[in-house]
Amino acid sequence: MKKDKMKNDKMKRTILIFVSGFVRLMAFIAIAPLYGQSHSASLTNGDMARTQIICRELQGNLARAGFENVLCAPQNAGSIIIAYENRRYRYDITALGMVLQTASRYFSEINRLVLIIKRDDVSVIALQMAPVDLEAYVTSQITAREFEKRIRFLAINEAERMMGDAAVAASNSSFRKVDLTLQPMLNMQLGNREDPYKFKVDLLPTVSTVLARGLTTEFSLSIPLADEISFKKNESLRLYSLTLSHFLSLGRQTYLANHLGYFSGERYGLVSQAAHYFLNGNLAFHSRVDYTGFLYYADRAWFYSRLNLWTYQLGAQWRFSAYDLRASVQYGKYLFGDRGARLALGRQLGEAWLDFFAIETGDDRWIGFELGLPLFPNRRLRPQRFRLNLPEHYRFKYDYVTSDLGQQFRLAHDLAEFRGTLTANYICNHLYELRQCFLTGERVRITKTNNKSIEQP
Amino acid sequence: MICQIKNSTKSNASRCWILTSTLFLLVCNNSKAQIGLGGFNAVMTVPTAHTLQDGRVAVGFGFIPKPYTVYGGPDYDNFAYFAAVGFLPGVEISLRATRALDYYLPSIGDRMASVRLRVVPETRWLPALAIGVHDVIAIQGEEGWFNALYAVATKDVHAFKFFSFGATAGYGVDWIKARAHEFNGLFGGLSFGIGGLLFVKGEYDTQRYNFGFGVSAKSLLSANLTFIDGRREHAAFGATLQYRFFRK
Repeated sequence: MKKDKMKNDKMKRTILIFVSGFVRLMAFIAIAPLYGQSHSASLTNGDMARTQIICRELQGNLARAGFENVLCAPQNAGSIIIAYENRRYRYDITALGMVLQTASRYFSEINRLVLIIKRDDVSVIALQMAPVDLEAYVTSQITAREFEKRIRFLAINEAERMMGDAAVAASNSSFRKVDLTLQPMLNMQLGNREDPYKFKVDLLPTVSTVLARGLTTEFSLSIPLADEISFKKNESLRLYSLTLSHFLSLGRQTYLANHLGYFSGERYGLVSQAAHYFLNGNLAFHSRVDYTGFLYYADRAWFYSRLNLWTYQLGAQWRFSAYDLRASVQYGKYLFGDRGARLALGRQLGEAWLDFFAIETGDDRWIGFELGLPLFPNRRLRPQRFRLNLPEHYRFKYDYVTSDLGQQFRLAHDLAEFRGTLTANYICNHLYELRQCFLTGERVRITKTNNKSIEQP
Repeated sequence: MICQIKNSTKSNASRCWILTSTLFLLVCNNSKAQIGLGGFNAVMTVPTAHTLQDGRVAVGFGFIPKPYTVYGGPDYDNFAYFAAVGFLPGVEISLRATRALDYYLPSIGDRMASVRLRVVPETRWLPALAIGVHDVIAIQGEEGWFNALYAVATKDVHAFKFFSFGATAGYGVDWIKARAHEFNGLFGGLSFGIGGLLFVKGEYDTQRYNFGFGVSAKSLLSANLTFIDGRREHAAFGATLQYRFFRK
């Protein structure tokens, strides 16, 4: 009996210990998150406040440096999203280097950086990197290949969603700022029997502005300086183009563009373009449909036809990222009603490019090349209400052509050139240039701060 | 650079020697690729297996005296101006226009395009091997004055980092229909370089033995003087300016 009582007491004690332990455990489980939450909340609030201050300062600095549509927003503590548009530097890699250099004074307080690069306020590319990795690359602690692996390229809509959550107003808007660009245009006709060297030199003063997101307008005149080619030699000044263009990003690597107005080549009407990029921009499918008519003004008279011509081009482009090489194939109907294919092989040589092409249309076939050379200066004036600007590149096209077949007029804002060098692979291939810009900018900054006796951040 | 050693002291002389040597080494290079008179990598006129460095562009001219000229016949001197580019690693593309000087018809001259592909890069023991086709645009036509299809091998040897010796041998065929062919048969050349600055050269272009000199400064400017058929009164010459668009 006594033995049983002792046994019951022992059991009761065991149950009591178990129950009290269980209650304590449950209480700990219930309270622990609150402890953790309050602790992390206090940390986050402090860090977020500092991150917001950094964003404000950085946004102002980038806007003062001449970048447009600048938006810096904290994503969370120590993580920043920077959106910007570059019309200051000729080369996008230089601009990216300068943005990173400007942000570098806050690198000790940032652990993640998301960059969204825009054109005409339309997002073109988004990338994410850790400042620690950039610094490690710049100081040669890691190789370009290692740094490249640590950069993450984001889908545009994903990056914009991050930015949208921040709800911050952009600084230094690019809208309704007028650029006057003076562009020379040289045409040559080589190999005529009577005169083997014929030249036509025009000056194209061009006024352009961004009206709203993706909406640009351009007005261009042609002033002939020398003309040995055209039959209309008495022309003095004439309209070269007057266009309204609209670019639209449909999220994941799809773009649409519509152009309306009077185009070069004496055509007026409507042009619609679409492009879709796959595989980090390496593969692109593009299309163009034109509905145009003839329009020409001379001797105070208009000569025109009704909108009567449909032309189209469909094509694909593949980028061999290792060499910045692009191969493209295109089939279409051209201005003189001829149909045919165009093959092209182009190489980006730093800021210059060289494209070789071959066209077979109708009964004719020919080859040629197009060359783009960067023009001085690398850095242009800050975009203002009115800015005098110089063209970024000089284009030269040569084709061994004996007929007018296979012709298509050029668009001032061609969707095919909208992304330019802003592709994931191009940026990765040119990290050494990014590093150079970053280091150059760093040297300038240190010199300036030393001169002004400002404490280094 | 003029050095005046007034006191003839040993320290001044050695300082001057160091300065001169430094300046000399600054303009020197050991660039293998040298554009010849025809606008492509060559000993002087015969092609080598070297190609322009990736992204490098060369522009220049070449003058060939009569009667060794092809375009316009043997009565007119030929003047060629050209541009070449290292389009890809091991791929060289060049464009050239050749004018017959004092020709009775005004003309821009014969335009031609060449593509050269280095199929095997040079190693320590093995030579570089390249194939080339010139005047490719007129492959189907009758206007090809400078058509060539060939394979060529080149080996360079460097001694004491200051002297270089290059040997080239190639063989060309006339398989492509054209008005005239170049390098049809066995061709080759030798080159001896001092400090990458001065080169003494000799070559056989399937018809004649030529010799001459070349100078090259800092991979930027190079010039050739060639005595065709070994005759001093028939001097051909040319110069090339080079620039590289990007550096890795």
